[in-house]
Amino acid sequence: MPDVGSARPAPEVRLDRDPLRQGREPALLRGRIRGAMLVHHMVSAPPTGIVVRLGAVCRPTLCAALALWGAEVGLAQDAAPRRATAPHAVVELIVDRNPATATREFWLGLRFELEQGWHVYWQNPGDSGGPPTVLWQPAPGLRFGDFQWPAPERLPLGPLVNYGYTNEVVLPVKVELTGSALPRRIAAQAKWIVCHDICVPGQARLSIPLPVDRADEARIPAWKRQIDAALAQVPQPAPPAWRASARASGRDFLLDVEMDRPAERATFFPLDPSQIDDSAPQEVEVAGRRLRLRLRQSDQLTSPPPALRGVLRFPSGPAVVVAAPVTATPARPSGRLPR
Amino acid sequence: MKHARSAFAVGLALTLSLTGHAARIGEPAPDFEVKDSKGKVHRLKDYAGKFVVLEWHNQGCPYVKKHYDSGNMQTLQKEWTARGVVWLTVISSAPGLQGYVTPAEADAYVKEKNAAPTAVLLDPSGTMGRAYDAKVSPHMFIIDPKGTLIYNGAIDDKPTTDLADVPVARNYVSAALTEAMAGKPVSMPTSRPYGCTVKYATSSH
Repeated sequence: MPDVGSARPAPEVRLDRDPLRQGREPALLRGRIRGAMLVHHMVSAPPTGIVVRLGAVCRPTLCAALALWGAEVGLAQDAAPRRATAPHAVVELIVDRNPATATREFWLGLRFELEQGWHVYWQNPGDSGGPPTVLWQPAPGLRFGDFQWPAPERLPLGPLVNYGYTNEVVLPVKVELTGSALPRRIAAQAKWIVCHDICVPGQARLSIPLPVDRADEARIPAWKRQIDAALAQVPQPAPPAWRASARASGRDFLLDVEMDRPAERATFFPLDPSQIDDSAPQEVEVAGRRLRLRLRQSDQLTSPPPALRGVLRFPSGPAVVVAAPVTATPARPSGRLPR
Repeated sequence: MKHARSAFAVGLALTLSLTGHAARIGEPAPDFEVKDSKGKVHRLKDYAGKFVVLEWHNQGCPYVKKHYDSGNMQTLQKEWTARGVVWLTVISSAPGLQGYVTPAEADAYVKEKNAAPTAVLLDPSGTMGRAYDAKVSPHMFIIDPKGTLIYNGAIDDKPTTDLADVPVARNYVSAALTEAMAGKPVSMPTSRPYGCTVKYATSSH
């Protein structure tokens, strides 16, 4: 096996070792090799994963030569692409305005374009999988918020159910300006798992220059529409007049929501894992202003939670976050819920 | 006749799965009758008096690979079987789906990975998986010597596919076995299992 120093930390593309690809050359890696930026990483910290994968495209001597070249031309670590093609997904950074014109804040988006039939996950992935993550390179003058998660879909797979996104999704992040000068570039490492009936982990280093590239300026209005559309899908706090409560009923929870308008049918997406059985059908009852959902308790639940927290998604209009205190019912000595 | 019996078994497992909660903490763990890669039949009641670990497996799943490529799963298997625990690796992938293996392929994997389970149970019908409501690979269960389910959940607290997380993870299975074998109650009997969806036969649900 070709190896150019395997014991050091592997910050980059560790997951590219994944034999799931079964010989398919990852497009992302190819792109990086062409850009030679990856090679720069190899100089600073040869990642074992890369070296293993590179075996297919570059012999150790050639790799070393490329690496030296990368070091000589002094390619900056943050010169990662704005948009990367990975197995079953194209991943990119977008902004809602040219950050150079922002005075206090702007929105960044991590956008996934997914191959037909593939999905990525919501913050609570449901029965399997896991949410995308991003690590921002520290940038003086900028403060990055957390992902704002648009309301997900229920994605049944065999007998199980996941919560996530198909086709495309933008995960917006608010960026606050804390200083007068902008850094030259925003750089991030994104990691995700993309699944169909099988799952493939992916990761990419992405960056966007400040100000954005000339060629990208014309794209900003479209990016803003995508970010705004994603933000419109982010669940809002329930109106103060709403009353949500929950109680155990046999092996179910009954979640009641009294609204300030005629109730509508809704799907509940739990924010906390292991409270409800994700794959169980949700029984919905609507009567006047009251919405009632019967939700199967999770096998993983051994004592009643203080509250059921989750997102109610309606047929139309914004999704709403509810936190329904669970009426106290003492757990039995065995730790099981009362029936 | 044999066919009718297996149809009944599938029907029973389906019923258990549909009613849910087939495997709840503090209750008797569902019995099973499944052949291993050597053709030997294993039943839960064969292991009365012993701790039993069930590890749902799919060799193509990146979450499983994290634990086999790092050697973590093999270490756990060796450590706990050396202490008298019965460790059953269970494969519920249906033919044609990811993770499905023939008996010979199962043995070859064990050899290649230097794995050390007590046995690899082949459950292509998904009967055992559905009886336990195994959701993901690796979904882990622990059964005490009385046949009571004492753990149902994840292998550890790092729900990622990242090998670097293995050394810094808190292993829930070891924690539960350590407590239970010392005669203490398991302080964390459940957790959200993480991994890839078990690739059940779609015809049986």
